[in-house]
Amino acid sequence: MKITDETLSAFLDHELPESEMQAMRDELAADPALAERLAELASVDAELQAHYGAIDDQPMPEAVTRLLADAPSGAVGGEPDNVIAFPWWRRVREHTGKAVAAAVIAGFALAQWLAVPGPGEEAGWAEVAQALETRPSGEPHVIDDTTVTPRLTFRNQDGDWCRQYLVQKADHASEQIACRTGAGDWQQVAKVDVEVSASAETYQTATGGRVLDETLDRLMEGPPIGPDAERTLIEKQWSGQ
Amino acid sequence: MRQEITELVPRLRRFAYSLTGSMPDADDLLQNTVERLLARDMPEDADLTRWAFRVCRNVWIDECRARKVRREAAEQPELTDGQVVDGERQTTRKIEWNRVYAAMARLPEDQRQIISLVAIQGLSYQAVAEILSVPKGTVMSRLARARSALSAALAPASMRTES
Repeated sequence: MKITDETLSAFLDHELPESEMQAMRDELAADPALAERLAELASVDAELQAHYGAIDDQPMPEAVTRLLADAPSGAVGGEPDNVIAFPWWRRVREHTGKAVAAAVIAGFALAQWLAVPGPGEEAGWAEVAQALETRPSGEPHVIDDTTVTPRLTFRNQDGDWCRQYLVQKADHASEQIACRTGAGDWQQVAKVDVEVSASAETYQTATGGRVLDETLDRLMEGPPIGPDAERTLIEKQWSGQ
Repeated sequence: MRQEITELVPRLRRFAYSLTGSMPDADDLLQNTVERLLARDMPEDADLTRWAFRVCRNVWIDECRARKVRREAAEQPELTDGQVVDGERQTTRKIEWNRVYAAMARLPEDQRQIISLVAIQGLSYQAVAEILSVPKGTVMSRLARARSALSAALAPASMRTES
């Protein structure tokens, strides 16, 4: 199978249909040269982000701040502009690009891919949401061919409850974060595909919670809650304080 | 509305920087863009982010490009603004800066806009297609060409810096 830069590039952006995404992962695992090419393309993104991100360090022009000064609740106002939160996915993408390049240089097979969740969510979401709603962290919960293991529970900056969890299927696995909206729906806010490991234990050590650490840093308002508080929260159907 | 625009400003600013190639010009463009965003009503069916990027690009085409800001910037790139002044490190940064700047400046404009929206802003191909009014397939192929060209121009250092 001849794979063009165009396909690699679309893979990098998670813009291929899921079946092709999976086929590409298999190709990448088998073909070091292809993985290396992907790393080259991915490092372009990292360089551009670093280069054009440099403008973030410059003070925001006063004229612009003034134009927007009437913003309610004073989000920007007098605060330094770097306080403004970037959308989570941009941070994750940056992170992923670097991880890819590093992994290839170190001679590892590509292990993780960012999947940007679409607004339509994915098949089987209702079951995942149900597990998030009712299951404590640390316990694998099996639904058909999918295992959902909540990892931790925390409040995000908006005060909504969120959970990080692992979703394992027969052929792939991903670390995800979802938050519970005011209406009581769980919405996926981050997802990173991780390599399926033969042993769950090895897997835990290899990537564990880490792949989403940067995202968590941004989302979390405070430390995750403990098992007792979590149990109470689940019993009260997430209506705690 | 102001609140939403305020949240978009850092992203618009980076986009403006990638279009103009110079920080002062980027801030001029940003200001004009924010003025226009505040002055006009967003089309009812539009998505704010896409609309804002589209406005930014239009302002750039209408005003800044007419004044050949880009060309001037290319002749006199702003190297010192906000950079740390310490001998060797600055020299290295300057070289890096020039490398990326030069590689981006050599891209055709449409490719530069596309790679900026996807690689720097993280927008979907569909969103970029809507912003630039081109088919999604065009976004995909031009983006790949831009990445290939940039990777050829940047490859040695990118491998070096990732270690």
